[in-house]
Amino acid sequence: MHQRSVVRVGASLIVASLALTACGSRSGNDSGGDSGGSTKTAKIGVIAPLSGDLSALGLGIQHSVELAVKQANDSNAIPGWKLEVVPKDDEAKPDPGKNAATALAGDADVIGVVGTLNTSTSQQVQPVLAPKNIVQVSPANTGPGLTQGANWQTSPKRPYPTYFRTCTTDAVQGPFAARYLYETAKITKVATIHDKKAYGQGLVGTFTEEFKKLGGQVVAAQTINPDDSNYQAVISAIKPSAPQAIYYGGEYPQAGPLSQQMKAAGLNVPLMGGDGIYDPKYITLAGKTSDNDLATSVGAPVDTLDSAKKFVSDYNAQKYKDPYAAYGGYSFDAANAIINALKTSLKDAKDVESARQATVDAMSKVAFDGVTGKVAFDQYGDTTSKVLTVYKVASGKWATVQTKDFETK
Amino acid sequence: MTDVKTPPAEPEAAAQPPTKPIAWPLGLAGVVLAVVGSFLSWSYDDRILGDLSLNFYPGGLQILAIIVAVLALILLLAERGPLTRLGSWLDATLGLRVLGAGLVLYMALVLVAISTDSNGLINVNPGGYVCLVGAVLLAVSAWMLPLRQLRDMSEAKLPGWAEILAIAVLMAAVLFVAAYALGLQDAWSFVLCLIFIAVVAVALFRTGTLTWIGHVSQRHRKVLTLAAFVVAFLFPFTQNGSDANMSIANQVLIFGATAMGLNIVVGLAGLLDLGYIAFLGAGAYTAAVLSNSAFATVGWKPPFLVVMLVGSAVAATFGLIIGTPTLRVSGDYLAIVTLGFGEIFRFSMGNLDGNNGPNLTNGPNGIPGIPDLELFGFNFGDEHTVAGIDLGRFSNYYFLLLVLIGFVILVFARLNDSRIGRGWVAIREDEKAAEAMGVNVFGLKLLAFAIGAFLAGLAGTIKAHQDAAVSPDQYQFIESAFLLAAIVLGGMGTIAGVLLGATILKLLPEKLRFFSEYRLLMFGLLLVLMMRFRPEGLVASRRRQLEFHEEDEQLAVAVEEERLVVEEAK
Amino acid sequence: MDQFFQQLVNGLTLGSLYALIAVGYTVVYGIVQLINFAHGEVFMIGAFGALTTYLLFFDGKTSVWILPVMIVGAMIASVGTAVLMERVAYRPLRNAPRLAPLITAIGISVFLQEFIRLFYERPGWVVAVFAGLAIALGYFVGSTRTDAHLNHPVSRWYDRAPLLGGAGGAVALWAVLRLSTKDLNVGLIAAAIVGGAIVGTGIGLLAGLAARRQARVRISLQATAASAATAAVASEVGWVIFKELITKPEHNGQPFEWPSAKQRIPFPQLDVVTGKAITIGNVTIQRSAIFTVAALVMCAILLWFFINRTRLGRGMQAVSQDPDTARLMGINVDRIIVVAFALGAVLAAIAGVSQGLQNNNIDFRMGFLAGLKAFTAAVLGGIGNVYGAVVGGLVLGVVEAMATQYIPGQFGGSTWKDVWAFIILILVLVFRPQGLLGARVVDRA
Repeated sequence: MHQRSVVRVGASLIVASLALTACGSRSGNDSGGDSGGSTKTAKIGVIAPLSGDLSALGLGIQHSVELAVKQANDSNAIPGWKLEVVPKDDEAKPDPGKNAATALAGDADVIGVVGTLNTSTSQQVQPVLAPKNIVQVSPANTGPGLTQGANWQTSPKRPYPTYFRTCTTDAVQGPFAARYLYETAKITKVATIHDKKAYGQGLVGTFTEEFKKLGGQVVAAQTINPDDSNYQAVISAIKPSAPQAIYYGGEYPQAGPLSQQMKAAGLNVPLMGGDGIYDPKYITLAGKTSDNDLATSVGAPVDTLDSAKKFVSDYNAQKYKDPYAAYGGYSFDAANAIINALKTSLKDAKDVESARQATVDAMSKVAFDGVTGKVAFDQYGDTTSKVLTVYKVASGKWATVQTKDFETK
Repeated sequence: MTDVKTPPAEPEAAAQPPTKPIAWPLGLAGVVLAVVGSFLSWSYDDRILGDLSLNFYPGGLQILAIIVAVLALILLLAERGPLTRLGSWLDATLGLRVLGAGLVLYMALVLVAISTDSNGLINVNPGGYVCLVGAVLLAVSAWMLPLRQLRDMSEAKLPGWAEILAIAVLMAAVLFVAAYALGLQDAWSFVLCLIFIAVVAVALFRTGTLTWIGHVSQRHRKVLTLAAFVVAFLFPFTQNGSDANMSIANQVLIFGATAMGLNIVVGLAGLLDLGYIAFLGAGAYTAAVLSNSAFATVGWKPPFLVVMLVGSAVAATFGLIIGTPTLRVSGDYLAIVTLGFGEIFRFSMGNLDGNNGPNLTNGPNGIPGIPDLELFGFNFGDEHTVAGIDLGRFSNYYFLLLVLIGFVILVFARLNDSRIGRGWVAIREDEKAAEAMGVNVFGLKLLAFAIGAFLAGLAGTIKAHQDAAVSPDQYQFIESAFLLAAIVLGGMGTIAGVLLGATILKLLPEKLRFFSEYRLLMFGLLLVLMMRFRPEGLVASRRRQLEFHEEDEQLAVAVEEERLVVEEAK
Repeated sequence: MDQFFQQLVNGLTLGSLYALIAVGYTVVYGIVQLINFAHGEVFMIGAFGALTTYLLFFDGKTSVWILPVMIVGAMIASVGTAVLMERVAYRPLRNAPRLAPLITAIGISVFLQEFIRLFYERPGWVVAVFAGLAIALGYFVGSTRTDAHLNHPVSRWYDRAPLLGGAGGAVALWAVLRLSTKDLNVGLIAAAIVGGAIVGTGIGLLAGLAARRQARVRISLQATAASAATAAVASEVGWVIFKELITKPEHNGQPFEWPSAKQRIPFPQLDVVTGKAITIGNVTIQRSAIFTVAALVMCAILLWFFINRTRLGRGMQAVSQDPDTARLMGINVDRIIVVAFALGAVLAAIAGVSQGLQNNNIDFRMGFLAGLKAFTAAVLGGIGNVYGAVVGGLVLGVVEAMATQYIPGQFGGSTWKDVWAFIILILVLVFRPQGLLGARVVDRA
C-alpha cells in the first residue's frame, strides 16, 4: 500500500520535474540572450565528427571554420554583427548528426551550418535544417543524391534549396578513378569492396559504371561491415579471381587494416579509394605494406595553390591542436561562402531568423576566389569546379601523382 | 493482537548521555551566525559562483544557505519554543543533525570552490568563515540534543484542503529549486545546488516529513492523480513557444513508455530481456517502411492507425518467435539469447539493403525523411496556436505520447492486479512450485514477452515519426542496457519507480552537458554501485526489498508492522 | 571445393580465438553460475596491456623475442582486472538473486570500455593505482609483523585500524608532497620515505587509540612502523616508475605521447608472427593464424595438466561439482574462485595478443562482440566444460567461415557472418541445451 501512495507522489513529482525543464530553459535563455549593446551575434554551426575514428577530418573542418570566422570578425566583414562558431559532434553517424542539427535548428541565432563530413549523416541533417531555412554548406559530402535527388542519374531534381557544397561529387570522383586506373595505370581487372554506407556504395557504383564503359572488368564485388575489424572472409572470397587492383568505397579506419590484411594474405595489389581514405592515419593503419596504394581527392592539393599558401600559414599561426586535414581548405571556403552571403543578407536585417531566407538566396549568387580555387554554385548547389587529384603512398606519405580537371565526355 | 500503536523502544534512549543545557542555545547561536554570515560577502572575486561578493545582497548560493539555516531554526523551535507541538510529530533532532552536517559540508565545498576558481583561499571573505563556524556550531549542538519519543505519523491529520495545499506548496518549491538548479551554467554552482537539494531531502526524510507526505497523498489519491495528468497536459503551454525542451520531453516519454513495457517483462514476470530495444526498433522500422518517405521500400501506405497495429503486431510476433524456443531454458541463457536477438535485429536492419538481402531497410543509412503524422486532418508537423501560445511540432507529438504512456501505465496496472499478474509473481518467486500449483508457466512467460513486445512496438511506431528517420545505429545493445538500468534504478515492478528511473537516465545526460564525455563511465559505475548497495531501486516495492535483503531481520519486522498499520487504517 | 580448405583454415583461426576466450566464460559459469559479461573487456584489456608493454619498453623494435614479454604484460593487465572485478564487484553479491551480478557485470563492462577509451591517453590514473598498491603492500607487510587477529568477525576493522592508518598516513604525506613538487632528486625521495614513515606511524598510532574506545585493540609499534615505512617506499618507487617510464621523454626530446584509444590503435607488427603469409597449394595461411592455433594447442595441453594434475585444478573440479562439500573437505572456495577468474583472464590475454597480431589494430570496442560469440561457443560446447569450450569455439569458427562461403545468394558473404553465431546459439538451446560435450554445472536446486 505504501507503494500506491508513492505512485501518486512520484507521478506528480515526475511531471513536475518535466515541467521544471521549462523553467530551466527560461533562466537558461537569460544567460545566453544578451551579447553586448550594439553588435548582434549570428552563429555558424559546424556539424562534423569531432570524436571517434574520423575525428582527424572533423576537427580540421571545425578549426578551418573557426579561422574563417575569426578573420571575418577581425576585419569587421559584416558591420554591426559578430559571428560565432557553434561546433557539434555527429560522431560520423546519422543519428547524432540529426540530434546536432535539431539542436542547431532550435537556436534562433544560427544562420548557417558548415557540415557534414559523411554523406549518410547529411541525409538526416538536410530534412531538419531545410524547413528552418538554415543554409547548409558541406565541404566533404560527395554523394550526388544530396543535391540532385534520389534519381540523380536519370532525372536530377534538387531536393533542398538550402543545401550547397564546395567539393565535387562522386558522380565525378568515381569515373575519374576509373579513368586513371584504366588509362594511366593500365589495369583492366578490378575487384570492388564497399562498406554499404551511402558514400561508399555510391562511389563504387559510379566507378563500376565508368570502368565497364571503358572496357575494364569488375571481377568481384563484395561488401564489408564497417564495425568489423577482420576482413579475411572477404579477402579469401576475392583472391581466386585474381584482380589487379582493389577499389574500396569507404573510409580509412576500415581501409587501412583492409590493405594491411590483404597484403599479408598474399593479395599483393594496390588498393585505391576515394577521398575517405586520403588521410595520414590511413598510412599508419595500413603499415609498411601500403606503398603504391592510391587515393583520389577532390580539388588540387592545398599546399600547391598560391591562394592556399596564405591559408596554410594563417592556420599554422593559430596553433590549433589538430592539422587542417583533407577538408580544411574546403571548410574554409564553405565558411567564407556563408560569410559572403551574410554580407548581403545581414546588412539590413533586424535579427537572424528573418535573414535566413535572404541568406539562402544570396548563397546561389556567391562567387569568389577561394583557397581551393573558384567558389561558385550551380543550379543544384554543386560547386562549379571539378578538379580532382590522384595520390599515391610513397615511403610513408601521400605523394601527388596527377591533378586534372574532369571533362565530361 | 499486538498493540500496534506502541512505537518500538529506542535502544539509544537508555545509553543517552544527559542533555547538556548548552545544546539548544548553541544551536540557536549557530543558526544566527549562519544567517549573518550569508548576508555578508563570501568571496572577493565577483566573477565566480554567481557573484557572492556583495554585502547584504545575497547571491543564489548564499540564499540556499539561508534556507537551510531557517529550516534548522524551525526545527530548533520545534525542540523548545513555540513550535513544540510540531516537535512531537517531527524528529527534530535527527533533522538538525542532518542539516548541521550538511551545512558544514556545503560551506566547506563553497570554500574549496572559491579557492579553486579564484586561485587561493585568500579570496574568501570573512562572511564565508562566519557561516562555516555557524554551521559547525549547529552540527555540534545537534549532536548534543536528545532523541525523543514521537507520535505515530499515520495519525497526523490536518483538514483536507490544508493537506492538499501543503502538497502543492511542496511541489512548487521543488519546481523552483530544480528550475534554478537546471538553469545554472557553472559546474561548481550546480554541484553545490545538488548538495543543497540532497541535504534538504535527507533532512525531510529524517524528520518524518516525507512519511507524512506519503500518508497525505494516500488519503487524497484521486485528486493527486488527476492533478498529475493535468500538469503533464499543461506542460507544453509553459514553454512560450520554444520547442527545444519538448524534444527532450518526447524522448523521455518514449523511453519511459518502452521502459514500462520492459517493466512487464523484467519487473512483473522476472524474465531478463537484454535485447528489448529490438522490439522498439521493429515497430519503428515497420512504421518507417510503411510511411510516405522517399526511401520507404514497401509500396503499401496504410493509414497510421493501421500502421500502429501492424507495427505492434510485428514486434509481438518477433517476441513470440524469440520466446518460444528460449523461454524453456534458464534465466541466464534467456539474457544472452535475447541479447543475441537484439544484435541479429541490428545486423539485419543494416544488411537488408539490396546487396545482402532484399531491400527492406535501406541498409546502414536508414530511412530518413519520414513525413509527419496526419491523424483525422490534424497534421502533427504544423504549428498550432492554442490560446495564444504556439505549439510546435514536438508539442503535438508530446500529447500523443502522453496518451501512449497513459495507455501503457493502464495496461501495466491492470495486469499487475490480475490473475495473470499473480501468476507472474509466482513464477518469479519459484518456478517449480508455481508449476506444481497449476500455473501455466510457459504460457504466462510467453504472454509476458508478447505483451511487452507489443507495447514496445507501439511506442516504436510513434518514435519513427517523431524522429523523422530510423537507422540501425539507434538500436544498439547499450540502449537495452539503459532501459534495464532505468527499471533497476527506479525500482522493478513499480510504476512510479520506473518512470522516475527513465526520467533520470534520459534527462540528466541532456542537462549535465559538462559531464557528457564521462556519461557512460558514470553509467557503468552507477549500475555497479546500485546493485551493491540498493538493488531494489529508488522506489522500492516492499516485496522486492525483501527479496534482495533476505537476511535482514529488521526489515522484515518493519514491513510486517507497516502491513498491519495499513490493515488497521482500512 | 577449392575454397574449402582455405575457409577451413580461416575458420580454425577464428575459432581458436573464440576458444581461448570461451574458456574464461565457461570456467566462471561452472563455478559461480555467473555469466561474466565483462570477460570480453578482460580480453580487450589484455590486448591493451600488451600494447602498453610494447610502447613502454620496445617502441619501434620488431624482434620476435618481444612477444613473450608482451604476453606477460597482457597477462598482468588482464589477470589484475579480473581479480579486482571478482573481489570488488562479484564477491559481495555471491548470495544475491541472479539479476544482481548480471547487471553488475553489464555495468563493469560499460565502465571498462569507457575507462580505456577516455583514460588510455592520460596515464595520470596510474598514480592513483600505485597509491592503492602502496597502501595494500604496507598493510600486508604490517600484518605479517603483528600477532593481533585481523580477521575477527566482530572487531576486524578496529584491529586493522593502526596498520591501515600507518599505510594511509604515509601515502597521504607522499601525495601532498608530490602534488607540490614533481622532482626526482635523491634528497626529496629520501625525505618522502622518512617523512612518510614517521607521519604514517604517528597516524597509525592515533587511529589505534581512536579505535580503542570501541574495542580492545592491540597497537604494535613495530607493525605500524613497518606498514608505514613499506607504504612510503612503495609509493615513492611507484612515483619513480611513473616519472621515468610512463611519462618518459622520447629520444628526440619530445615528451612521450600515449596513443588515443578513441580510435583504432595500430598494433605492433613483430617479425616472425606477422608478415608474408605462407602458401601451401591453394591455401594461404597467415603467420598470425599459425601463432593463434599453436597458442590454443599449447594452452589446451597446459590446461589439461592444470586441471588434472595440480591441487588447484582438482580443487576447481571439486568446487564446480559441489561447493559446500568442497568447503567441508578443506578447500578454500574463495581462493578457487579467484583462480578460476585468473585462469580465464590468462587465456583471454593470449587471445588479445593474437587478435592484435591478426587484425593489425586494437580498439576499445573489440571485446563486446568477441565476448558474445565466445559465450555462444561455450554454450555450444557445453557450459562448465572446459574442453567443451575449446571444441565449441573451433566448431563455431569453422561454421562461420563455411557459412560465409557456402550460403548462396544474398544471404551469404561476410556481412551476415555475425548473425550465424547467434542463430546457432538459439538452435543449440532448443535442440541440445547441454551442448556438444555435455554441461557441467552445479545443480543449484
